[in-house]
Amino acid sequence: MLLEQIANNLGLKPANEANSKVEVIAGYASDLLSDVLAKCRSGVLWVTNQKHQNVIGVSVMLSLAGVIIAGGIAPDENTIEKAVEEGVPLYTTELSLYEVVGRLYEMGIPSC
Amino acid sequence: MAVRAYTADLHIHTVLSGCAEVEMIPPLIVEAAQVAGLDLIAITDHNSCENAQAVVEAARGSGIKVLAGMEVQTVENVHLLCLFDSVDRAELMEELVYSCLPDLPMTSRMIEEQMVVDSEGEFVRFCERPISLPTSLGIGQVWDRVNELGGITIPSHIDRQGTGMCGVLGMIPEEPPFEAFEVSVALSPEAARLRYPTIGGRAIIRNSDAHWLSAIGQSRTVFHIEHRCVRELAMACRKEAGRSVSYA
Repeated sequence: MLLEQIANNLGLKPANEANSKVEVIAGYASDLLSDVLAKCRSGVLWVTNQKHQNVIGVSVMLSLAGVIIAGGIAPDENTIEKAVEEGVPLYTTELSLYEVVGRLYEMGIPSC
Repeated sequence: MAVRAYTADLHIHTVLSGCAEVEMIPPLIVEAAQVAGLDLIAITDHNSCENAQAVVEAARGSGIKVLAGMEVQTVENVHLLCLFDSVDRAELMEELVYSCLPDLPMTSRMIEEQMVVDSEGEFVRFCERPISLPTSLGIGQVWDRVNELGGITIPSHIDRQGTGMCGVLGMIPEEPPFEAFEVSVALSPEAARLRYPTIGGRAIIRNSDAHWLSAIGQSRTVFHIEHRCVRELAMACRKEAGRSVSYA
């Protein structure tokens, strides 16, 4: 499924203008970035409550499809700046992390 | 004054930290530090410095210098050692930290594990704030305030999965420009440099993170400095004017 479709279905708010016509192959949820580094791979959509700029650093390293910061948490300013700079699709949502993950699963996005 | 070697353990908890043993009282901490051959220690309870003054007093005449500090838990759940030359400065930091603790009711069991004691280790009162929980302060906010107060911020046990900077954030952030990083006992400074290359030329220090007496000084760093103060520690971390860091 394309990231664009997922974003529309969930009503996600884009924090930057990055290419959302990318294929999401799987999903993952974690707030421990070392865990994400160990488990995720290219094309994965990552859901987190962590708002630090390293979220973008990790996404770039792994070529993730995109990042959703859930729970109405506002990303740090430099996180948004870095997402713009690196072209990583970054979204926010008022939905809780639990709900985002549940709905992604319902849509048929498998776990990574 | 000439540069000389001071052996330091800059990460020691007291009975104020709920996770520390009840034996972690000022006179016994000072005694254990003497036995371990330390010249310099820092008192770093979670999000609080309420026992720092008591340890400073307990150390009078012992030859051991005590820095007042705390281990602040940031909003990212990263632990940062914040060290100051004086209790007054640490208390100003504590003011900010206390204002950023979650407003959650504490159970009596949690409260009874957080003891404020005097220099002889006698019970004074319980600390009723939720100091074992993360604050709403970001890493950058902690760094800024510590700098303003003339202290030094050193990320604690960066390799630890749940609360160390690299465990939580995957890697060392580009900002703020930390001068030193603490590694846990599990990782040698050499291995840390290989695992986290962005440390670059910055200092790696080892401390015990003691929660019980026998741990004090078990992991330590030698600072080659003129005086035992924060400014000199920072100079040693930056390898300035003949100052440096080594390991015992």
